Amino acid sequence: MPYFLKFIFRRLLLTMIALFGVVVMAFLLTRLLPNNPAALRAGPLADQVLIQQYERQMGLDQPIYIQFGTYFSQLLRGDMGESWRTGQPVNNELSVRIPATAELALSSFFLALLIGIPLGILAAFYNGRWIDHAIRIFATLGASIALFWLALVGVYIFYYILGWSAAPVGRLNIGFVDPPKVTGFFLVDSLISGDLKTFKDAFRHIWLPSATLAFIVSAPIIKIARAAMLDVLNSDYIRTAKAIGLSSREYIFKDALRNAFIPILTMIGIVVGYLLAGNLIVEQVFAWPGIGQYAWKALITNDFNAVQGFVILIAVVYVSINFLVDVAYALINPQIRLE
Amino acid sequence: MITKNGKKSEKWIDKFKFFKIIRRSLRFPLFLLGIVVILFYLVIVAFGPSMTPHNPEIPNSKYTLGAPTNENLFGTDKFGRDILTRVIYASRLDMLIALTVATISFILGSLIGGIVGYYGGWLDKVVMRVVDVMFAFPSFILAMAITSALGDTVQNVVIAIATAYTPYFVRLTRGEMLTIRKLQYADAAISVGNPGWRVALVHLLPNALAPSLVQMTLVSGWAILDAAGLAFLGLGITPPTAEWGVMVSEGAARIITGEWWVWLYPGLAIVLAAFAFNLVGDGLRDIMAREEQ
Amino acid sequence: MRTEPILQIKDLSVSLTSGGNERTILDQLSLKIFPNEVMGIVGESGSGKTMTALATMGLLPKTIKVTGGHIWYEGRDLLQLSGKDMRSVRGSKIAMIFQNPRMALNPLMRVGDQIARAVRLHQDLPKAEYYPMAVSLMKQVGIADAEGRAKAYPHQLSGGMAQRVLVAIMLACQPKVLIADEPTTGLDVTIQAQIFELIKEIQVQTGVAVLLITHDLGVVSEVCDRVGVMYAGQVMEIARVAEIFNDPGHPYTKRLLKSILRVDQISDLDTSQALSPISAAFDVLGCRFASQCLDACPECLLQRPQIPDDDCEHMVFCYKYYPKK
Repeated sequence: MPYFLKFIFRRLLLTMIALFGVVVMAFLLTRLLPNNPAALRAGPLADQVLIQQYERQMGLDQPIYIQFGTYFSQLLRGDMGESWRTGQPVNNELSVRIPATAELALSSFFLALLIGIPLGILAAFYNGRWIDHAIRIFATLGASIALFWLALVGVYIFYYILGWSAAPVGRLNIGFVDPPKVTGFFLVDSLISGDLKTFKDAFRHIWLPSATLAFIVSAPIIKIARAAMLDVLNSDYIRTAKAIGLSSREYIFKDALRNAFIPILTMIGIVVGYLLAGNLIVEQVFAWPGIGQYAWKALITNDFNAVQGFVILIAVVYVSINFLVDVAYALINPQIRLE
Repeated sequence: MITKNGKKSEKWIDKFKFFKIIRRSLRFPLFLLGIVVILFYLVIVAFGPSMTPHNPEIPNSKYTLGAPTNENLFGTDKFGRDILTRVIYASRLDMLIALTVATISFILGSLIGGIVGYYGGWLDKVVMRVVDVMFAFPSFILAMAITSALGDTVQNVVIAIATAYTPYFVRLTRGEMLTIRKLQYADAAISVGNPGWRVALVHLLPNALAPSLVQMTLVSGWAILDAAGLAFLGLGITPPTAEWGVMVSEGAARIITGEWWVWLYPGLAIVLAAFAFNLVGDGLRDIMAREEQ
Repeated sequence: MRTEPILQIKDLSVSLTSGGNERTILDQLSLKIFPNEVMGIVGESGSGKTMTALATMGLLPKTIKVTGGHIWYEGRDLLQLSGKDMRSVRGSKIAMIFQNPRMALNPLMRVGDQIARAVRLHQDLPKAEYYPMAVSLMKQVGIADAEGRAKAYPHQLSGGMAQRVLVAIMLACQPKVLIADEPTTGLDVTIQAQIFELIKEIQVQTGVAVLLITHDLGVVSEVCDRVGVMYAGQVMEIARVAEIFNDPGHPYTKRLLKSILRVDQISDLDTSQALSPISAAFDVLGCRFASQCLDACPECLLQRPQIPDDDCEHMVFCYKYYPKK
């Protein structure tokens, strides 16, 4: 088998093992939740008999490994059980909310890349000069600001004072109807259906949370891009490029960027982690109807299945993205692609 | 300073190197700034309560939601409590959390990483898979899950965040241990009977611990952000405890009514503290890197 | 009788500024390189050989600055040139190949394309000719199956083959001066011989002046016409190869020759004091070898001998043996 496929295969295997571990961990974690969910479900006036009935119904009277076995086999079929708070199937509730979170996450992500990568490369090119120092301080500052606080600052300045942003109450104002669903992304769907009014409103709602999250996430991106580019610029082959008389523009765009792209790519996976965590907080502040808000409610109410479902979903997304990054790395790097 | 007795001069070089590092660090102004700010916070931790003008927990209904005045430099919150006082008290709590988390995760992680790195074998494989699983989560979400599982106390927050960051130290120390093992074999092969490898270990250990030191300062900064973030979401530390995140969440509702001082000052305190830790961590990293040149 | 030098380094001083300390790396170095010859520079590691080459190319790292002197080429002082002018010199007039050839090639680009790029920059050919020219250059440097190899990536080549590719890139630049900085470090001994043969061949065929930096005295004796001996950033002796070996003038040269052929092993022989020039904590005046020289006189520590007529064949920078004709 060519090395390249072996490489992918091995990564896939490790990913699967990690995911299994995640499921186990999520399961164990929720069983540690202090309150008895059966008691919660039965209500404050329930007596012991009723609670026990609920326990039986929820399968809580079984030994742990049987509970896990049931859960796992259901999971393989895509069934995450039912939310104890709402009674709805967890995977439904999650999938309904995914587009909202995805729209926010993706827009923030691309914005962060757009800000972070050029700044990082700029800092690397002017290494040691004041631009480099300024950008580094900016990145350090960005890494030091609490996202939730920045969101509040943003709302205060841009909504309360300037009125450039809509109120932080979700994706659309009350009078508006969701655009007909094509992608689930309001910005896209409203354009598709030609509804400019909705588009404008959706934009007024999304730009601030997106920009806030992008600002915070751009900080590690700047550092990564700078380090990667510095490494490349100090390499022997860039020295060769200089030695044969290539101008800085030529060797930066042709050689340096392409080579820096690889380590930057591998780091993207880590950045996505910050993005997912940040998304949760942003959804809280802006009342965004995404999976982050759902997870928070589930945690507060000790909703086992919902929490498990959320945790597993996040881990799956995070791990899958890292896996895709590995695949992309294998494809781009000729040392792996060609054995 | 190369003398015939290589062993003796090595120890002398060690001491000399330490002072050289301290002197070199003076040339990194940002690093020094970070240290100064952290010292400032530590002073507040130690002497804070005697510096505060008011009581952090006693509500004073006369002055609820008052804008900053000479008497209440940071204004008052919805219960009439002085915000400056509460920020100062919160500093003690948050700094304590930060340093405790860093210490615990460092000790635990280094122990595990060191043992696993030294013995290797199936233990190594199992532990590294567990570490992989933990790295499958963004740290904050992991801390969030553990905190809600354990309950809303300060201790649990510390445990949760420390657990989330322990894997970093496990990986770091394990890596260093593997390097040291290789050098042990190399030195043993070259100098038979000569306890040179012990000298190598003494010489290496400072270098081996250096990245962990950097990581500790960074983790301290992250711990503050995470603890505050959890508190903001209502997990871990809850009102009426004075903690920066709690204070910001209390001020969140005031965004649209215009009382900006309730959430601004605690948030600034967070930024300043985290920024200081980041500067120190990055500075340490730069100093160590220059050292290698 | 004597032609004009094609490259003349005069009183070149270069120092390293690290954290407030300034350490001299090159101390008023003077060298001449004549057309159509292979000039060697030998010295131990840290003697400043590579720095001399980098200074000539204008590729010194950021922490290392030129503090004085001139490098004359075609009537211009290279040290005074603007970045743009220097760029037009690099490659087309003076080219350089380095150690670790595989690291010196872009890992994401096929080697044929990398050579073709040099062709595009320095030769006046139509676009369609770039790649074929690259392939023919590869043949010229002795790479078998040039068409196939041109499609390879650097990591797929052996060290020797990678170095040949770099030589091909340099050939594409058609320079007048070629600087080769220890081009065979890390390569197999048999491959080393091949690479030096290749360089010699190219020198003869194209008439390019070669500045060969090495710490291998054996190579010097076989490939070079003239050689300069460096120590701690100073030139100790310059002479034709035969004279250096048969009739060395400088005490340092004599000690080098006493050692085994590879200069970088000298510290094993002469163990009373480690010879590690660059790590000296203080700058010294005068000759830097003086503190270890058995023939030293007090004058040596204060000032180096100034050889007035620097046009003589055999120059020895030493008071005891100054000057030899």
